[in-house]
Amino acid sequence: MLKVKSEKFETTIRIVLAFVFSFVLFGVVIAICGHNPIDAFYQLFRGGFGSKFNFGSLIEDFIMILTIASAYSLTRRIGYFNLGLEGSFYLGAMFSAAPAFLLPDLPKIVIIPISLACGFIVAALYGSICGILKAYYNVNEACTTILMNYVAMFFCDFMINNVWVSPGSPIPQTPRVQENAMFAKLPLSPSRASTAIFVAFLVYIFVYFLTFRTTFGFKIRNVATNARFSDTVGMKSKRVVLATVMLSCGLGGIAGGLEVLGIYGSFIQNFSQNSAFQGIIACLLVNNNLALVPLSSFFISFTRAGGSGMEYYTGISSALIYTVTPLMILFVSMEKMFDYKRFFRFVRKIFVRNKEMNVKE
Amino acid sequence: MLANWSEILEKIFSYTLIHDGFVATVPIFYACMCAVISRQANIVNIAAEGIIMFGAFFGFAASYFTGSWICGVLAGMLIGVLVSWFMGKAYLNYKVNIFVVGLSVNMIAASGTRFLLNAIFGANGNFVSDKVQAIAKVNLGFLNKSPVLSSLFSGYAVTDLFIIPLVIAVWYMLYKTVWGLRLRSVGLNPMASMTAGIDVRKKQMQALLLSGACAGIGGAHLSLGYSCFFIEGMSGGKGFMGMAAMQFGNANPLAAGVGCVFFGMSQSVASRIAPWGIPNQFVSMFPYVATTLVLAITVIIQRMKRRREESALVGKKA
Repeated sequence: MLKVKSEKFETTIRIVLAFVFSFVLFGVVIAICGHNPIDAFYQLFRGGFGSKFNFGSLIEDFIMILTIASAYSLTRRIGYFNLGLEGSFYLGAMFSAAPAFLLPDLPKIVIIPISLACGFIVAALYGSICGILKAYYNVNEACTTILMNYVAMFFCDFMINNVWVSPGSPIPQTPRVQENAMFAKLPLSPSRASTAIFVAFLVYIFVYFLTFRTTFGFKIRNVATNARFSDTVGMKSKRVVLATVMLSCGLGGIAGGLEVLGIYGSFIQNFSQNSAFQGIIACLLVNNNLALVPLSSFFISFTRAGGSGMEYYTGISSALIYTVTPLMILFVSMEKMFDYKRFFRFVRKIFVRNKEMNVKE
Repeated sequence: MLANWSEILEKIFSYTLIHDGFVATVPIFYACMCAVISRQANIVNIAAEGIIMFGAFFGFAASYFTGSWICGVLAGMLIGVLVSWFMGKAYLNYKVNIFVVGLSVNMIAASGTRFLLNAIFGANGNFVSDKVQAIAKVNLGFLNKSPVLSSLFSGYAVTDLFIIPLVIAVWYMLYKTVWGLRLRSVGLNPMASMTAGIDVRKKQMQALLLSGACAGIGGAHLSLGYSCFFIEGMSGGKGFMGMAAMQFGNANPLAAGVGCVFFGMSQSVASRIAPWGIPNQFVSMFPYVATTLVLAITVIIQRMKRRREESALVGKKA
């Protein structure tokens, strides 16, 4: 028990060290580009927390990122590399919007669950394609999910250009959803942050309980560690994998629904520019430690909001911050790289050797 | 109606399709070689996409600053090797999950090139310049009299043609040299090859570096030979199509080449269907759908085959 605790402590230290290292790198790059790094950091913080609007846009991102990170965490646990969340994000957004503008006006409590459920189902079905291929035929999922993402994106593009067209809008998009389907806004007025944040937390808690407090979660964790063992015990690992993938993609669809019903009010062309990958980063950043996922999601959404603030005020492209966050994943996962204990041992060795040499002399 | 259809088909499947299809195939080919070499060493390298992006950007930049496409291609290759070296360090020395490494590299490449484009050229999203020298095209003047022959054999970029010796060389290296035998043994059974005295980690590193070089050249070809500009996200899933082709060919470079040709052809056929009233989105979707479908079908067939072989050896499985 003690050992586990100290291991956890070491992991935390390692994550902190990786963060510090990447931010130093970030500062160095900014300095090379001829800007003042301290000013850039100041603007980064101001972009995240400077005003009601900035904090609001941070929360906007946080809703989506927390949901996707929770969804991703499920499949990460069974070793399925679910890059298809981007596609399910798109499809979920599209098909959550669909009932909200197709159905007649309904009360809030009815239409929002219908919308989200619709997005969930479509996204889960989409996920099942790659899930079946992986679980029953062992087709490499990193490949199929990425390729299917393009299919999903082009499909949505087709729908908003030909089937569910909103006439007279400059950017292709679906008709606006009914007013009742929109989540109420949080009191962060100029920004569009909405009460969808509670749904996001609900999803997170659901995933947490599912993984650690239910039979199904027990199965997931077992299949993750030893699929053959769980097959022998009678868990039907293939079915568990498929169910997990579908659930994960479905939750990714809910993230899309929250985005549309919370922020935009209609499905807009290219509304997500690979933003689902930010959620994946948030999950990988803490090595799939579910307890830390909200924290890392908050951090990632801070970098997103702050990055655009920094770009606005200092002219440093926000792409830099998107480069630093995946680097952080690498640094966090390179366990030995930030092994501070080894470093201390190394330092002590040098000192001891010097002392010995002094004694000899 | 029928005459109309045959006319359309004639226009789609004319002799120019071979030229266009081959040109569309080449970037996928480079990615595929990257995937093949690393797969033979038992590494699932999903970073081809990212390395192609890096290669495309640095090749383009080198050509911009030196005014020579050879420097561009070399720069692309070099950056490919560098990125793979970094990946190899992370995967082999620091034991990071290879998927995580690959995904990070892909994401770093996608946003890193965007940042560098902004920082170096001050451009947002895309960049075209007269200073960039494109890869030289091989024009066979004596074929000009016949449009068919000149379309078939002339007007390819040097890197287009380079793919043919490259594929053969990769095949030769993997299947006809001692180095290749050892590499494949590492891929098949690392423990056994370790016992036989092969430095597994070193072999895997070599494979990664080589595959990085392939993908790097592919990237430089994408921005200098295939087209002469740089757009963010210009790789557009080609790295993953290459991986799909690799699985199609079961990591044999020649068989995988067949897959590459199919995917490239499907791309150029799709672009020819466009004017006949089929929605634009379905046209763009077509190569991805075709790739996924073919990949799924081949893997299922391979699996059934393997099962049959297994059952002949071990006896019927209950």
